[in-house]
Amino acid sequence: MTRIGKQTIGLDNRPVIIQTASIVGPKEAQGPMAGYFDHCLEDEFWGEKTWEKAESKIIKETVNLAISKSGISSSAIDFCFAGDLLNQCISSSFGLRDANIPFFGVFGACSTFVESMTLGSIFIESGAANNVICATSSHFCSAEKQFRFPLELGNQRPPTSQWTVTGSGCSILSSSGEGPCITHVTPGKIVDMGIKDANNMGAAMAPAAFDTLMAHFEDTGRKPSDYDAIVTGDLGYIGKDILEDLCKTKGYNISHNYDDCGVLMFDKLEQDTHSGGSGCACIATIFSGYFYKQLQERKIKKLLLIATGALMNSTSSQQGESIPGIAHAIAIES
Amino acid sequence: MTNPIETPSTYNKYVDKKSPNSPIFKNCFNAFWVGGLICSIGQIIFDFCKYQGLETASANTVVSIVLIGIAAFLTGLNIFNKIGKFAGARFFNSYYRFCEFYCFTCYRV
Repeated sequence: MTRIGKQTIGLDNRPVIIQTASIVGPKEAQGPMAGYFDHCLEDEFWGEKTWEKAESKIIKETVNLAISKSGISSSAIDFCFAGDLLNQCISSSFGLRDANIPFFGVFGACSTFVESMTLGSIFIESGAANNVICATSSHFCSAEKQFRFPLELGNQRPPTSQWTVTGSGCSILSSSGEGPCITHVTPGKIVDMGIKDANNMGAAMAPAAFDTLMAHFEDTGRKPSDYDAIVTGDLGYIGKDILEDLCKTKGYNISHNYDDCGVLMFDKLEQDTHSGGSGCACIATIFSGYFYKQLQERKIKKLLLIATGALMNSTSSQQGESIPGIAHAIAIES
Repeated sequence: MTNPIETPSTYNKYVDKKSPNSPIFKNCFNAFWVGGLICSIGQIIFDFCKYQGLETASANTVVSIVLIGIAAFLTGLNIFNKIGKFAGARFFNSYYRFCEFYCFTCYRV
């Protein structure tokens, strides 16, 4: 493990992503990415009484699925890093309470998936673990209830709003084995540019994504063309556009190999999702479902995965606080 | 190109330019005529009840029952939420959510 530049860590032993799993909700199942997910739910409750219980079940089953697909026993998993959007991360802690794996609850809002993978890969690199599991979940109904308005109120959604992805994605990292490996991690700084609109998350998070992206390029000496794909988590259409603009101010043109999971998840016109998908599960399911397979098939050889998060809660919004953004990046090679 | 993230205020101005606004005139117009149409239907039912000899209080109750009944029926057919989205009024959607709950409960029972 080597510290490169200001905030990047180079992983010499290259932790391997040996398996991933993804489960998504019914709306995601109607989207263009549906075919890549392991399992699509028919309704938001999945036989549970509340949305929160459903979300816990989704993350639990996703973790179980990843473990069974990987062929290693759950006792061989040394640590679990997981998080979600609900208060005190109840979806992951309740969902994984029977997993019997040492557990770290992680919160980085929608950036949690890459944050978990960053921490997990450093655990493996340091020799503290052989296998770790990283998982995140989100649920449209429980997230709307907590962060914006109760669904029953039937509020109208502005064009800048995004649709929280219902689902969970999970990856198993290992010190050995077959699969794409993590070569660099660039944890991001908190960046707050004074955006207060909780219905415009893309704009709130784009400066953080820009900051992390520039730090990654500066630290590693790489440039956008060194990657086959640069993928952000959930900036949506507006945030994606802003990030491309911001990169141009520093002389980088990322538009030819850059995409956003929030844009990829839904069909904007058919599904009425406005500025695209969001939530912890957005990047987690798209990476676990789509990009992991692309890496395995070597259609993408070098991927820079940047998860973006808005570090606000409902109280801070009600008190008129602005929304601090964060973004963490990992470089993956197949 | 100037740097939009120089200060929070320049960034906010830049974001305002980038973000599409809600189509407020279209929304208001649709809310106006759909709302007016619903009121007119209610008035027709009310007048019919009065014509049939009902008292004002009873006629009011019948109007509510019929309108909620129609809304519940359309909700069952998955039409009401589309009208709610089109007409773009929160109260109207609350009506829909009530009916959705009502239908959901009936369906489950």
